[in-house]
Amino acid sequence: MSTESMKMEKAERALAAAHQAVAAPDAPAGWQAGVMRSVRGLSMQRAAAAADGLLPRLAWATVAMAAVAWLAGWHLGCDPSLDMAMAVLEDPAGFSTSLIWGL
Amino acid sequence: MMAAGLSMTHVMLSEGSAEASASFESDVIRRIRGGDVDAFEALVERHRQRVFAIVGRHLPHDRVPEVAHDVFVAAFQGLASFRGDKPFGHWLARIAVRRCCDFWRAQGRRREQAISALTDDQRAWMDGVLAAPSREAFEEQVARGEARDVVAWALGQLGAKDRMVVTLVHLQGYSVKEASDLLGWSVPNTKIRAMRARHALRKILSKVMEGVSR
Repeated sequence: MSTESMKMEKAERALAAAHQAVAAPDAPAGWQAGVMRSVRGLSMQRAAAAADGLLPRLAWATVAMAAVAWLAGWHLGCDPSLDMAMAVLEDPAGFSTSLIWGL
Repeated sequence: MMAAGLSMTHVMLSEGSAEASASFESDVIRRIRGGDVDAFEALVERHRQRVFAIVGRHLPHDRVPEVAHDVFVAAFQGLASFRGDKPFGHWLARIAVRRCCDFWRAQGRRREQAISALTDDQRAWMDGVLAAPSREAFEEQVARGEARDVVAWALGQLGAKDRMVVTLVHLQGYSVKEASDLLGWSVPNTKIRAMRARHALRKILSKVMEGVSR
C-alpha cells in the first residue's frame, strides 16, 4: 500500500471515529409537549375537514333525492309532481321516513 | 454449557420482551387509529432518544429538535400507512433518515468551500492525525474538538444523497443492505452511490492533505 493511500485510510478512520464520538443531543424541556400540541392540532384540523366535507355531501344527497322524487312524480303522473320534490327539500329526513313506511 | 444456557435464556427473554414491546406498540397504534390522539405520547416517549440519536448524527445539533419534531409529526400523519410487518421503531428510523436527507436537499448543495476556510487549528488537527506515531496519539487527536468541525466541513462538500449514504455506510458502519432499507433505495443503487460518495470524500481529503503538507 502506498504512503498516500495509507494516509488516506488514516484520515478516513479519523473522520469515522470523530463522527462516532459526537454525542447525540437530548430533547430540550417542553419538546415532547410541543410534538403533542402539533399532533393534536393536526387531529382537530382533520376532524374539522371531515365535518366540512360531510355537509356539502348531505346537501348534494338531498338535492339528488328531490330530483328523483320529482322525476318519479312526473313519471307516475302525479299532479303537480313538484310538490314531492318540495317536500323532500323542506324535510329530507321526514320524507325518507314516510317513503320507507310507505314502501 | 452454562454460558450457552444463560445466553439462550437471554435470547428467549429478549425475544419475549421484543414481542411484548411490539404488542404494546400495536395496541397503542390501534388506539390512535381509533381516535385516541393522546396515546401517541407513549410512542414519542419510547422512541424520542432513538430519533434524536439518528438525527443528531446527521444534522447540526441546533437543528435536531426541530427535525425530530417533524419526524414524529410525519409519523403521526403516516400512521395509516404503517402495515406493522416490521417494528414501529424501524419504520420511524426510516422516516428520520429521509427527513435528514430532505433537510440537506433543502439546504441545497453547499458552495464548495476552499480549504482555506479551515482554520489553522483544524488544519493542524489533520496534520496531527496523519503524523500520529501511535494508536494513543491517534485517538487523542480524534477526541479533540476540531475533529467535529473537520467532519462537518468534509461532509459539507457533498450533495444531500452522497452525504447521507457516506455517513451511514462509511462513518457509522451500517451495511449496504441496512442503509438501503433506511434510505428506501435499492441495494445496487445504494452500493454504487456509497462507492461514488466515498470516492468523492477521498478526493476532498486528498485536497486537505495536499493543503496540509504545503
